[in-house]
Amino acid sequence: MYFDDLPKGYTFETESRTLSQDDIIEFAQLYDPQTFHTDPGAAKTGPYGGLIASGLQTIAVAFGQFIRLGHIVESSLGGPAADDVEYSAPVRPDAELNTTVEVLEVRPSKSKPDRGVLRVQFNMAAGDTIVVRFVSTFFLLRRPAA
Amino acid sequence: MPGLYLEEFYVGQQFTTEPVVLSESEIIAFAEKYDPQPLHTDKAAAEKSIYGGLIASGFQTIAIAAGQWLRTGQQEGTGLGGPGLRKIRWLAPVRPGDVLHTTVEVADTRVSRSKPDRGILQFAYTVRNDTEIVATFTAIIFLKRRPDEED
Repeated sequence: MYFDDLPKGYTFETESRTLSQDDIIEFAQLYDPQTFHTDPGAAKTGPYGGLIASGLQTIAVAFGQFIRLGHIVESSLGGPAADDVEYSAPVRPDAELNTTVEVLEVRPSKSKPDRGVLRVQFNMAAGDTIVVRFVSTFFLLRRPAA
Repeated sequence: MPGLYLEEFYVGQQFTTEPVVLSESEIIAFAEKYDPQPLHTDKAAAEKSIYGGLIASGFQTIAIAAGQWLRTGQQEGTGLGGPGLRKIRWLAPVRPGDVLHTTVEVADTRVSRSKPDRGILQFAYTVRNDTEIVATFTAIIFLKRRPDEED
């Protein structure tokens, strides 16, 4: 899909994904080595009452779910920014994670007529509970002339 | 406990992490799991792109920075997670072989109103490849207060 195909309000829904305890520990050992992400025993008596995923991992999962839809493979020019990242609720092992991505704003580029800027809201839920939210801004190509 | 309590941080305080070299295999491994765009997973495709070669997922860049900060040990045992991040800006591509280090500056610190045993800090991260800034972001962190400071 191209910039021209995505009006404000358009919402994508991703496939589900789960993070196993091993997924959570592997990521956290590299990128977020705090015991409530890496040590199930210690995590039980820690601030979250059990092992939870690193917030950084959850936003990466959400973004990957959107990419896997494949809709912007040809048109994406990358994203310069993300904002308002909220770790709304803990993400526990084996929770089924579903993400929606809603187009908040579309803006044609003034300097480069072949592209525009998209701002989207990511909402990841586990069941009925929103677990992670963030806004992402990226450039998308306009549909090439036929 | 090696980590600092809330009271030991002050606005303007700066820390610099050890450097880390990012390899091509690490870039691909992360992207295959979390950001499967050809720019991050497919060397041949990436070489044909405007970037001229494989680049790291922006999510990996900020994750590396967060890990580098934690490995300084400054919040070991005193960190309680946090409610989120603000103002993530990806400013330059990160390539295999780049040497990344992160500067963390305390931007704000206050005691929690609802939970007097902890406080809320804002850390501003600047990630550099040598001297070039590649990414910046702010993290909001809950941190324990020194036990004798509680009301």
